[in-house]
Amino acid sequence: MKKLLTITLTVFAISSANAGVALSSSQNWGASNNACVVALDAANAENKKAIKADFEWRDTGKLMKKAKKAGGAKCVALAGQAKAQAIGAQQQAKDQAKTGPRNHFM
Amino acid sequence: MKKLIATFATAALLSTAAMSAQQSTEVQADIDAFQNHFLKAFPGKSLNDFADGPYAMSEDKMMQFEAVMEMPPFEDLVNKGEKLWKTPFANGKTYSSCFSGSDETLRVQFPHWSDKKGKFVTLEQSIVDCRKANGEKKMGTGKGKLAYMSAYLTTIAEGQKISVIVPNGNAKALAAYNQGKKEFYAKRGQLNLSCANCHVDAAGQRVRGNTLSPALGHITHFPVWRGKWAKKKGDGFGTIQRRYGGCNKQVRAKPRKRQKAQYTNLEVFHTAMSNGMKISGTAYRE
Repeated sequence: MKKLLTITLTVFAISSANAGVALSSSQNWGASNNACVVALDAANAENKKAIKADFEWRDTGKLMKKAKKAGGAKCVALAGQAKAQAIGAQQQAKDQAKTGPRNHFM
Repeated sequence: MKKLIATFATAALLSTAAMSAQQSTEVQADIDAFQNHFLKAFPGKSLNDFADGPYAMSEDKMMQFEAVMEMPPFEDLVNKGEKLWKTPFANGKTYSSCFSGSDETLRVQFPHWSDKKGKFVTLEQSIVDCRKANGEKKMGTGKGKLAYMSAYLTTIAEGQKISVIVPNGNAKALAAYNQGKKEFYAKRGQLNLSCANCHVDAAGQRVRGNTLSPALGHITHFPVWRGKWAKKKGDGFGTIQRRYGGCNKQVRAKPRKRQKAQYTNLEVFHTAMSNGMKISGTAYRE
């Protein structure tokens, strides 16, 4: 009887532990997916400003597409790179607002 | 009295025409400064020497260039361009019917300011517009058939002088020119480089195995036949605006759409800087 009880308890314990792992992993996946969406939205918003300034960089859009495809932590990293590029492009637009031939000619 | 009125009207018309054909003083000052820079930077070179681009900077390169140009790899395509140009549309009209002046003068008539359109127009865009007006299908403006026809027009214009006019007193035309000028001098892309950084500041210097060409004279030989284009995507011919897109990509900037304001105005500025130079005909480039 004791043996049966021990086995039942062990099986129950293992199955609960597994359920816990499954639950936490699905929670993690949801969280990282959510982080990906947030990161992509942020990158997209910054890139729209760069496009409006007429200074979009070549690879920003590609990075965002890659990020979307990759998902998870890689998505967040790639979207971060895209956002950094878009911010750089906006800064470039400000820096180049009054550019001209000075400093180029002898 | 009638005669007097007619005389006055003619005089007024003539003076208006003369005024509209006069170069903006601001633009002329830019041209003088631009050309003087290159003439000082490369002593011993004359204005038309710059038509040879990077080949004018090195004897070895010039020998290679001359060897290629003895049997140009693009001759068949220029002939194809001539055939296309002279083939009538379905309605019986030809491309020439859309333009004033002889075919030989078309290359140097463009880009020009159009009062009717309120913008500068390029030769390539005018060819596309001509097709549209005659009920023909649209055509790409970077390469292919349009580039062949454009190359044919450059070939027959050899020896004619570039003369882009930004009409004096026309604020709209001057604003368009200034937009093109800004496009030339503004750094773009992840590499933070402008057209001027490579083709004014570093003209004649090397980037890996290539010599950077001077911006002065670029326009004298477009469309060009590039070995790189032939290797990658077929026939190798490309218009100046195709090249702008390539340059933008190289500095990791998003290229603009061809024949839209940015590249057209850049073409106006770029061409005006070579005013007074002779069209050297379609040429080979690496």
